[in-house]
Amino acid sequence: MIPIGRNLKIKAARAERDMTQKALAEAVGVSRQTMNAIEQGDYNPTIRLCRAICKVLGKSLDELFGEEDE
Amino acid sequence: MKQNSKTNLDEMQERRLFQIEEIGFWLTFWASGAAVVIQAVLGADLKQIAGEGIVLLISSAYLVFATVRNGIWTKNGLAPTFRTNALVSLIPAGMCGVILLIRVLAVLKRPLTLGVAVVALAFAGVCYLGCLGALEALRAVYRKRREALDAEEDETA
Repeated sequence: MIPIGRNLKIKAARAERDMTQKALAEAVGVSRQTMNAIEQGDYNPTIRLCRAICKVLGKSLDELFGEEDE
Repeated sequence: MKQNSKTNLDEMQERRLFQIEEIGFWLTFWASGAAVVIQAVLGADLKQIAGEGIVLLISSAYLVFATVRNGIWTKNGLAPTFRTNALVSLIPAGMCGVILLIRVLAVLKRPLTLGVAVVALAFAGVCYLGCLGALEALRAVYRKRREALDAEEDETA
């Protein structure tokens, strides 16, 4: 399994929309603890949650969760 | 996205709870196993170890049923082969023989004679055959189940 690193793209997308972690967490129906764990790379969300985050932030799956080129 | 309405937890909290429950289950399982072995060694009779024994039996039966039904053999990479089963069966068989020997020597205060050693060895042998037989029967059921699960049609086919 590929280890997941910190997800700075979500943080940047949040900043673009001036959204706090708490606001995003509430919008997608999870706890702030879970949203923080996703951004820190401590939790690998299901595709369902990934899609919900993308929808709220107006980004594609690839933009937020796509792998960086080496 | 909604939280699970039954538990009021989100997906990460649910997953963490599963992990906690899993650890809790294995703690109970192995503690019950240890309690049965220790009491058996100390000379407890069947009545005294019945409680822990029943807990172990029910948990084991559930584990065996649920894993085989889902086509899962082990999570630690032990291959479902006769050789593996033959080797793994040595563990409970050896434990049964040693427990019997300790009970005879320490609880019944009998001296270690050739007869006692032969009886302990025979008991271990019977346990070995029982374990191996049970594992082989399970392996056959697992194989069939695995084949059935792998043969399920692809929806796009």
